Amino acid sequence: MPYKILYIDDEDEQRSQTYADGLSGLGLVEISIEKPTSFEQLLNELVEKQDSFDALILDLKLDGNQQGDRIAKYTAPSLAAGIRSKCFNDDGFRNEFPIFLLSSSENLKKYYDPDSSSHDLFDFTITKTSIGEFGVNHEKRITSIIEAYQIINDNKTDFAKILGVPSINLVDDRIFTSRFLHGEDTSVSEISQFIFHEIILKSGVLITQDILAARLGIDYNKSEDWKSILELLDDSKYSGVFGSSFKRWWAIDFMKWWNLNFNNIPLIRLEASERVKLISEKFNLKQLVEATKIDKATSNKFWTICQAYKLPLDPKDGFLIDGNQIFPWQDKRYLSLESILERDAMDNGFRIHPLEKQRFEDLKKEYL
Amino acid sequence: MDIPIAVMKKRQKLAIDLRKLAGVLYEYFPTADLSSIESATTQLRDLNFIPQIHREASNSNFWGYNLNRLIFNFDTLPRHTRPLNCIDLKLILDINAVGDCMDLGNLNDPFKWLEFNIVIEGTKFGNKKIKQVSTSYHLDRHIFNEDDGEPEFAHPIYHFQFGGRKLAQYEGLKTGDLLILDSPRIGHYPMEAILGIDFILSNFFPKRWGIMRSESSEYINLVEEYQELILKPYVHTHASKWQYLQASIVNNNFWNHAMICPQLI
Repeated sequence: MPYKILYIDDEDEQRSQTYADGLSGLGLVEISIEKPTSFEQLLNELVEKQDSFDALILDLKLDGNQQGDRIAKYTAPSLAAGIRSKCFNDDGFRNEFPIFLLSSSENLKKYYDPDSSSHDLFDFTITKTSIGEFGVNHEKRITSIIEAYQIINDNKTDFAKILGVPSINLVDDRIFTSRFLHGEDTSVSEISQFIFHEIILKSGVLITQDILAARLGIDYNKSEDWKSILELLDDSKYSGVFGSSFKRWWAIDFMKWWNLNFNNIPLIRLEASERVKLISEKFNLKQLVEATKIDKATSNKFWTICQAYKLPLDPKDGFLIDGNQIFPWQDKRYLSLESILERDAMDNGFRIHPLEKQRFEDLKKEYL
Repeated sequence: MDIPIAVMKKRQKLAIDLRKLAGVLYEYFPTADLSSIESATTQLRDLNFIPQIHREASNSNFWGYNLNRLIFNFDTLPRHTRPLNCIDLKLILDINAVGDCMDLGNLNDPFKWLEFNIVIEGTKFGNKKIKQVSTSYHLDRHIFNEDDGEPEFAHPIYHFQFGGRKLAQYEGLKTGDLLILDSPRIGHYPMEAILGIDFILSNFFPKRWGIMRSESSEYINLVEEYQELILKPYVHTHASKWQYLQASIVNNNFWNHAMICPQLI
């Protein structure tokens, strides 16, 4: 059964329909379109028909069109805030549901990005222009968020179930504070967003395929036997919420797998070629290609990736990325020298940490 | 082989302290990479993990961890660095330690196994050629074998050594004007991660080491606690060669424990 989504937009119906079609091509979701009306009335309507949808998509500028009988004088963040606050009322919504934001890039930059206080009202932001190319990915992501809400809603504080592990004791005990574990004033949206942004999107307890391959020293795009490696690592695969659309592996389980199969040989100290040789011999896999260094890097004892190129990197060669504080259980993020010199890092929105500037300047001089 | 609860408690305490160490270090060394501290704490807390030692039977009372490739960046070149045109130096540390929990908190040898490798790597630029340069030191617990007979060299049980086998093994090593051979094995107190990193910071990052030691009570407490656990048995056993009265110990500005060992808190 596809999930039902209500999409509220003031645009003309034909254009709204194009976006709705672009986001439901896989048939994972069914999107119906509605025009906004006055704040109170729309909220009442939504409460009334709450059983008929699993999620909402809101257009950012709901007040753009002032023609016709249904018009709005507010924007999506105000509506979302109104909806979220009605989730805990007796006469409001019985369950929380995801709210997605849809907007043109210009409006997003102008009206939404500067207003960081409203960012956690939405579970995912979609730009209208990206739907043509990435509609399928968006649809998968929307679906996984809806699923996550339902699983979290059903299991509340049972984080072992939510993350798909036999016991929460197997998960780093610093991740969920007692407020989360006891469900003290936590909402489904808060839990879902925390898991998504801090556990799924940031490497640490879970790692992406790129980092997994880097740690194994394998170039997976060139390795026909990569599939066999993934099968061998099936027990380390993450199966919790968001896992259907975001492939992740438990970093700890992966290390246990390595230590068990390779007699505790310290993986991190091996060159990529030594790693590949050990794996090929142990599992009789011939079609594995060793990952190579990014230009100007000095080591192939890969453990992370260059965030600009998504290619293997030894942290020793990396430049720390400037950004928000990370939790102690999250991995540091790096850029390769090459990606900074070639400005690819900057083009992708990455800057180096201020403490790395002198080191970068010293190296840059040598390469000029 | 089930691990006794008392042993797990000690191992968990070691794990918590390693995490505390990582937390303090990141405050003062934001560009360091200490990610393997996480895998070491996982090993310590893993009910199924019993550390193994080369050619020796293991025991469920053992504690141990592998800390590999802890990376510290040098902001400035250490004094007297040669070659002159080398930059981007980093210190890479590996610590592999195993001990018996029953040997902690008394005057026994705290380790069954200890490997402590310091490698410093840099990049040398010149004549359009770019080369990696490196040097290394290690602190080992000597491996005694039944059939060793008389040792060829003096082997203090815990010894520091420059270069040695590890440097000579380095593929493609070009020595230039430098002569490399087995250097003296200098007796040194044993160090696990906390004392080891304190030692490294005191030698290679003295400014920030001084600041940490003047600002962070968490750091000072950790170092002090581990000096008592690891260093005290070594020093007491060493000094037990001679009898002395506590009252006969001289303590002045130039001759005191901190002058003898500046790392002592």
